[in-house]
Amino acid sequence: MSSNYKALTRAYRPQTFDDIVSQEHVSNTLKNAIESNRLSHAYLFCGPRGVGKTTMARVLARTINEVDMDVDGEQLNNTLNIIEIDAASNNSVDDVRALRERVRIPPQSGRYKVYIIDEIHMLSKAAFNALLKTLEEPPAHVIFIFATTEPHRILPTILSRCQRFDFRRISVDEIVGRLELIAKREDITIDRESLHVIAKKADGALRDALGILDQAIAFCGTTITYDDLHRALNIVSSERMFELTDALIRQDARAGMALLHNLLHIGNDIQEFLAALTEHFRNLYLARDSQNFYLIEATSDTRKRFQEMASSFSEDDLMRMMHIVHEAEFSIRQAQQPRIHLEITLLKLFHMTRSEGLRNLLLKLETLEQKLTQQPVSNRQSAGTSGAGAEAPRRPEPARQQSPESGSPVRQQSSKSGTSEPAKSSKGTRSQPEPDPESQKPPPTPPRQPDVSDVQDEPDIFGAPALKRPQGHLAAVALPGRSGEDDSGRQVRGNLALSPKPKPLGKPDPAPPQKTYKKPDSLDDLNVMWPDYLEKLQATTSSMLYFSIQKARPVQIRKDVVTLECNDSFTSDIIREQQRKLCDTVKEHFGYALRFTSQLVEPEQRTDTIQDPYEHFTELQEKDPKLKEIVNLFGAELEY
Amino acid sequence: MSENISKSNGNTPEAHPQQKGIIGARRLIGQERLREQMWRILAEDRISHAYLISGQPGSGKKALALAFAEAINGVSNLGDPAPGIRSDRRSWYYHPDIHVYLPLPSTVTRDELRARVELLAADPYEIVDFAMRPSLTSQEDSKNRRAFYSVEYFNSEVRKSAYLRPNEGRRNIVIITNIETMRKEVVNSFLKLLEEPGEQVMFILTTDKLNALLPTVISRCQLLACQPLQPDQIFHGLTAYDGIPEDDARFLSRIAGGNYSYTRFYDLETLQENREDIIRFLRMSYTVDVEGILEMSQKWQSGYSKEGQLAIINMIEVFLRDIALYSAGADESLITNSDRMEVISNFCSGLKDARIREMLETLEEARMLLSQNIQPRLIYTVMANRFAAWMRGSEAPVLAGQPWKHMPSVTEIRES
Repeated sequence: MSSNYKALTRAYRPQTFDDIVSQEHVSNTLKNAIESNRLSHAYLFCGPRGVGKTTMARVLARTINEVDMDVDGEQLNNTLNIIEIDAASNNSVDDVRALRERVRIPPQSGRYKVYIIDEIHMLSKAAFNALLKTLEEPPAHVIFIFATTEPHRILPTILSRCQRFDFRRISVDEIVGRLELIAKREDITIDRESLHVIAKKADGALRDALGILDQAIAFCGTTITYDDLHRALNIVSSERMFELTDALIRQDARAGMALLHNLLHIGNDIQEFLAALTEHFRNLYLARDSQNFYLIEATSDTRKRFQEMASSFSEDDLMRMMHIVHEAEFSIRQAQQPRIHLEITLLKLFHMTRSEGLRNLLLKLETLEQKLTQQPVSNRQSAGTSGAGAEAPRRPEPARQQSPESGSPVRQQSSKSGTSEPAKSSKGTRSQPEPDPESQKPPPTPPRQPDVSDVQDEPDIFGAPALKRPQGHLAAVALPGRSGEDDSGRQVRGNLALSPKPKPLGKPDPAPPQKTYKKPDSLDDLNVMWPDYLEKLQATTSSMLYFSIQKARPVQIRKDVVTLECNDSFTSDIIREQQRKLCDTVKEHFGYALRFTSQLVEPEQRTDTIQDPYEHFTELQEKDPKLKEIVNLFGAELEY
Repeated sequence: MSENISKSNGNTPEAHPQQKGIIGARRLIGQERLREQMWRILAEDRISHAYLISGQPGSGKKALALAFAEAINGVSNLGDPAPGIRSDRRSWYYHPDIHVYLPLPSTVTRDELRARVELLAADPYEIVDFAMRPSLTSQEDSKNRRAFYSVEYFNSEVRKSAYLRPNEGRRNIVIITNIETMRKEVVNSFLKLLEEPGEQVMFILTTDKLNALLPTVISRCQLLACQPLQPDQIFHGLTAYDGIPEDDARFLSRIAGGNYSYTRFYDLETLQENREDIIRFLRMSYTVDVEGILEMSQKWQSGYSKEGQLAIINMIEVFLRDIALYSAGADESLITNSDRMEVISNFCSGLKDARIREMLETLEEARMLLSQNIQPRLIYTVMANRFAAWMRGSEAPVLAGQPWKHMPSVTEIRES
């Protein structure tokens, strides 16, 4: 290699039609036109960058003028009959006028005078118009070839006067083929997989591919290995991606952040990282179905790994993860501190999966609670110790309850927190039967000591894990589930829509489950049958409707029309839309008709939000005896 | 092809192509990978005609470009020259074959351009752009001057120099910084030249915003992507070249956010004071200390320019990020404000329901509002109000997407 080194893109610019990669639809048409002597006087080549527009124009000009192959493509301009003009720097009317004058001079030798006008979209409007007449009826010896990446900026009157060819992006395989050829000629050893990496990164543009190859050669010398290439191009290896996924499965945010830090430290690009992550999740998503395997561009070993990892996520999870990452890919471009943006995105991923687990859990709780409302007394037990409480709800009806629990895979963490939560929820529901426990049927197990649980508003923020560091406040960042259940307890945010809000507590009067009720004409009657109705609803309709209804509560009944009160317009809309279904369910199970309407109430104003933290703290203590106990035991003080 | 070729051929680079080396060894910090890569480009003599160096502000793009240019033409100043060619020039500034261009505001004379290039000659990490430093002489002049490459400037200066043959160096090198500021017409008219410049001519372009460039430009260059500098690299730079005491440098490098150039000009005391202010601001937000918040907002508003406000918001962001990371259990070495660990851990244990994510998103919004010339004071007060709610884990008083609710009277109209 001498100082005459030329970038590969310039050194290997094709000189014949056959040499041009892809774009057969253009080159064949042109070849045929030359053979049959039916050349048009104006061509327009458009397409994305690096697909061969200028090259094609030069080849065409060279072929029809039979220029010697010794003449370099860049020197064509020096032959008298091929004139290459940069429209972007000669874009004024005057330039076009001068061109018009010169067009009339016949070629010095050869048949045609070829004008290659590159970046034609930059001509001014006036210049375009000045060109129109000449373009429509040029002298017989003139051929115009326009090239542009932005055909939409060209006047329609120009477009209609040209034969237009749209160039395609070049496929990965075609690029690989070309790169292989060039590598051979340059005496460079490079394996096919590496070429694949380059071609993929080039995104359909051969010029980009050659540029990258050039860079790789500069970095690695004449022997390019896969690993070196990864380092040279700064591509995040799939190995790292798997490590990250692994951390995601384990919900090990600490490991994840450390991994990210390392990647950035060795100089990986944030944008590239996000792009790689999106692709990784895409592959995971595809790997869930073995029919999609062929869509994953990887070796079979890697595919197998994808498959293994994918089984740890639900489809829903992966979809959302992809969404989060993809969104970040765009928003990070505007970000002032991209690194922070990336870190937060990653944290979102870590907590998102967790909230998914939580959701499963809540769904299970939902069914559990359902069972409990049927046999409320059976579950009377002390709520003082959450450990015992966790066991308790399982006892009364082992058969029915086991099935949802064992059915879905419970992750370690969620099951761990799960043990404490059933206790709370049972507490929550237990508050309902309070007024007349005597009316209950005798339960299979003797009732435990009834528990006055006014605690339900304050279920878990100050629960046991409060004093531990990391896991305890994962919630602080991205766990909407927790915050939804905070002291106010009334806000239900996105995911939490599925949470077991023991809402239907208008007048808790859980009568023993009966199969028939008389047609209700008062709210009390309605409330008696309501839990049973809810259960029927759950069995027969979509869960969305069920949860919506569950969040609403009956407030009025008049002339067979039940008014349901709900906190958000979404629920209200659902009730109105689905009221037919609601009616049908009533009819089916109780044998008479009821109609439903909904009424929207604004969630109660939180006047207490802004208040003195100490006051707030004491209030919390009032609500939660456990907290109070902690304060008394450890002398806790409000910090920060 | 004249003398220079024979010179470089006389001392054949092929003789030791794999010699381990790095460009800019005497002054540059960080970016080792790129610098090694550049060295290999030289050693193998595969100098392409166009390079594009991208990276966030302060990551040393200009310094890299200058060092690369020097190495190509054999100047030993920022680093030792690559094998093959040697020049006696003292630095790139005195080399006839190295041309450096900065975007210019339309009102600025060429004299001022020269003054800035001279500054760059004295120190390759000097801040010379017009947005950060509107005037070289006075600190107070905060005129916002938008710098760009006009058609006239480009054609009369930049383009002209790109048609020259090298005088004595290996290449005639044209360095064009911040090409994202090029006007649309200019970029398009540059394309042909960029793709096929004359022999022995090469371009080194730099940009902060790769995404703002035409794909046709990027495709014509070999891309060299700078990464933000790591704290230890900045620490090394600050102590080795700027004479900053180690303790201060350690603090500065941590909060630098990968930006070496700016960090050198940070005033340590102000910075620390600002951070204390931010901590106080967060506390006051929590306790809803209206008076304090108003005072603080007013102080910030009157104290700083727009860039300064941005810096404050960025600092808040860094602090919240620390909290998020800490609460996720990340390693303490990743925490930026590790000297105020106790505040962070207090926050985490005290405010378990805080919605950090929403708080961070608010900062994003605040930046946008700032760019729309909203009074910083208002931004800060609204921010504090929202923080108060979010730190308690509850919904913001005025939800996103319902800005009219900030004004009660309007609310009534909308809802009635």
